[in-house]
Amino acid sequence: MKFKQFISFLLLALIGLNSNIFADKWYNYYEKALKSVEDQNWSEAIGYLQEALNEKPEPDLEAKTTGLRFKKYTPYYYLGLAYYKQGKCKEAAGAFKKSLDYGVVKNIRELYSSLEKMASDCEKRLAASEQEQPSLNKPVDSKNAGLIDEYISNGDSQYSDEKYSDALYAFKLAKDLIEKTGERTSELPSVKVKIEKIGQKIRTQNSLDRAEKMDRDGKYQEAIAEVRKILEYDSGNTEARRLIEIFENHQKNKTDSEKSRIASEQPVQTITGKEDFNKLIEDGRKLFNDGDYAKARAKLNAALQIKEGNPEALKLLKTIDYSKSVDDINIAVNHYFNGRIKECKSVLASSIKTLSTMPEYKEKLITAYTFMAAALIDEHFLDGRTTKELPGEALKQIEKIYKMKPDFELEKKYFSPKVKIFFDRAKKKT
Amino acid sequence: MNRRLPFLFIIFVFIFSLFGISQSISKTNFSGVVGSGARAFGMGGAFIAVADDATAASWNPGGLGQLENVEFSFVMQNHTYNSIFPAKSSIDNYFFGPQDFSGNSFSFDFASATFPFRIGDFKLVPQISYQRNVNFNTNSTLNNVIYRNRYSEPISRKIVDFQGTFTYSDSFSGGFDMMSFSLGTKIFRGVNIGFSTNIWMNGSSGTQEYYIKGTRTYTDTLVKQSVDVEYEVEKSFDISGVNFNGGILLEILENLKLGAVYKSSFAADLEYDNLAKGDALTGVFADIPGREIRYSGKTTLEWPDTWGAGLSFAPIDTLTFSMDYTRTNWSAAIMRNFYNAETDETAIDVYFPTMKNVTSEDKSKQLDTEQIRFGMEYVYISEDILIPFRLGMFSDSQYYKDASGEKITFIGLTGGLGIKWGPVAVDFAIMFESGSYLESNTSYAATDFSEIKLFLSTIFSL
Repeated sequence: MKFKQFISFLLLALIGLNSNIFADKWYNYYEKALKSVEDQNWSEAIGYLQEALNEKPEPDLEAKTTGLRFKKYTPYYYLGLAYYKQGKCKEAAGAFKKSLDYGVVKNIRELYSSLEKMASDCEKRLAASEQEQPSLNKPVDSKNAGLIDEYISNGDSQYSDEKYSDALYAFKLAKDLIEKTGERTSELPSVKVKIEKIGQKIRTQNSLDRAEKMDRDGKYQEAIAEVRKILEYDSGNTEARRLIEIFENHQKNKTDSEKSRIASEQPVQTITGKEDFNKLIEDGRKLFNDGDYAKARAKLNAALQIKEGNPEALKLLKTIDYSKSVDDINIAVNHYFNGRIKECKSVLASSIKTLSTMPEYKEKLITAYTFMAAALIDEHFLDGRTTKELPGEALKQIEKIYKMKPDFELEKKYFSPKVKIFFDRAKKKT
Repeated sequence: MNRRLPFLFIIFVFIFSLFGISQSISKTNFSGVVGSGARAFGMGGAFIAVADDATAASWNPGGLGQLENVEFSFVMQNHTYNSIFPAKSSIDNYFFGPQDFSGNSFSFDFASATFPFRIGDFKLVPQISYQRNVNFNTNSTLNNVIYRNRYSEPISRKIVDFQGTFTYSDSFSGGFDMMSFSLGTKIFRGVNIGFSTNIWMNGSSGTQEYYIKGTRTYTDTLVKQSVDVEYEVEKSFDISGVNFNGGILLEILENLKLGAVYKSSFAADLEYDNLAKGDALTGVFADIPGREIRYSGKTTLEWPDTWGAGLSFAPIDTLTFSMDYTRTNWSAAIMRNFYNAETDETAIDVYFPTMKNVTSEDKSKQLDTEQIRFGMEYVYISEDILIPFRLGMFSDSQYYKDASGEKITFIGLTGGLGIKWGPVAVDFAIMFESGSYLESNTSYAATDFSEIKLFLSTIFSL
């Protein structure tokens, strides 16, 4: 009976009295505070440290917790750190002083050196603050100062994460508050520089986005002009220079193809006239070597009018067609990897048409089919379709590939998972 | 401190009584069951108000509420014991030579796993542990004890003088084990409580061998006969039962704690089996049973309750002093319905010291035991390594009186050393206990008892 009563007491105590009357020990609060410090949750850390200090006010190099556990207990150091991070230099300096007075922190090298740096920085800031406002006798509102520092710290953090809009917003808040309260004025120049720097970054990014869109739309001149605006204020911007080069190439290709079209529509006589066959062949070769495929083709066609079916002229023409196709494939690949699917398809279509007549260049044709199929698959899903069926046109391209080369293996590292999946499916189907 | 089994003691005495020499082998030291772990024993076993590691539940489940981390413990024990009994003699017709009774055992002692967790701010600390509460691992010997006796033969009534030697050895394994499910928590600020449910199990098996060699002489004819007898008994016994522990630990100040623990009494079921094998004898050993005799049965062992209280004080974080008082109600311990032998017509109730039918006189010879324990622990800290040093002492009163009716108390000294590096703590403790008492009015001198226990603990905490 006696035992039953004892057990009843224990159970009652466990169940009935279990409310908020139990409190943590100093080391529980201290553990929580250290976790908050790790998470950079400074306000929470300060709360826990103050609870820990209520329980155990004196720092200890080897403070016993439970069993054979000892902990380095330096609450004032962490309190100072938390205040410092909040920009509350006055409070931080007070906590650092207490930490140094107790002396425990001096035995922990890494904490001590960190404390010295922070304490020195705090001293400077406090001195600067005193110099700025002594005549005004304006009381320092530590809340504002803390908030300014918090904005700046937040802005720096967002900037390093490349979240420029958020960073800009944080720095603008800091700037406004500095100007409004007159506190932390020493920070104002650097905040302004940061705002300018971030603003420029955002402008550059917007320009680049716009230019790329123009390029996709075939408005190459406008795209080049847009990017050149960047170089006006940031002449060393390598990305801008690279894009200008690309856009200029696109422009050149467009011009070439137009010239070629015009040339092919003109009567041969107007080009060849009195020139003899050999001269035409030589000019054609020279133009080809210079990369002017359209003119080279015109010369060679003229030569063929003099000597119909001349193997040399025909061979050169075929080489020109092949080279043009290879160049087009490279351009198409560039379009593909830059998300310009339509342009990619358009360029590839002409390459495929040409290469289809050249069985000896099967590998290049397979490359063209591959990118065509990939472009079709991506386009299919970019349109928002969710069907699991392979787009018919893409399937045709893939079937052609496997027909030409049954052991074809997709270079998977270049393509999206969807492309890989559909190639695998098509391979099975084929 | 000695956790020798009362039942083993009973069996010893019982067997010797069969040889008519029950007064010759003394009662062995046995007091009560306490906790476990080298850290605690290094501190003299004064751990009720400390109980802040993975062995907490074995001392005071109230201490569990202090644990913050998952902890595992494992403890091994080595036990060396020795009793030097002086020769005993009655006038003219009886002499039993001095005996040096010693033995050794190495066995598992304790293992536990503790998993503190929180529900909001409310901390619960469950622990599961397995403890060898009473260790039966023994390997004891008693060599060539001189034995002389003059007696009257039961049938012929002739007077016979026996003169010879007596040799004994035993080998037992196992123990009374206890699986405990404990739960501790903090209910108020500085108030920790906890309780355990203990499931007792297992037992022991082993063999005792006796060898008697000598000569008996008929005093009327002076005819001599040689005696050369071997005798062996195989024994096994198993216990089952459940009891409960409850404890409280109060953190009066940051460095001052009070603890109290109660371990309930319970009626354990005990199954036993004896198989005696040996040479049939006549004459002086005519009362020895035949060649193979088995007797077995079930009995109830009424295990006594224990309560204890302790105090610990840490003047500085690295130094702790502690003190415990424990009392076990051994006077109420009894074995019900025990058959001494197959030939017994009725079962008897047996008190530990007497091994006879219950009488008020016999009961009065059985005493409650008390232990007063003192300990200290100093922790030397070197970078990330902790090296604790421990000392302790205790007084350990016995559950039987000496021949003059006085209470018997042994004194123990302990010491310990450990190392803790990161999550692993390894502790070692040595415990020396000794005492002397007048075992019989026929003894030439006091009996000297001593034992040494070594403990090795490992605690791993996350």
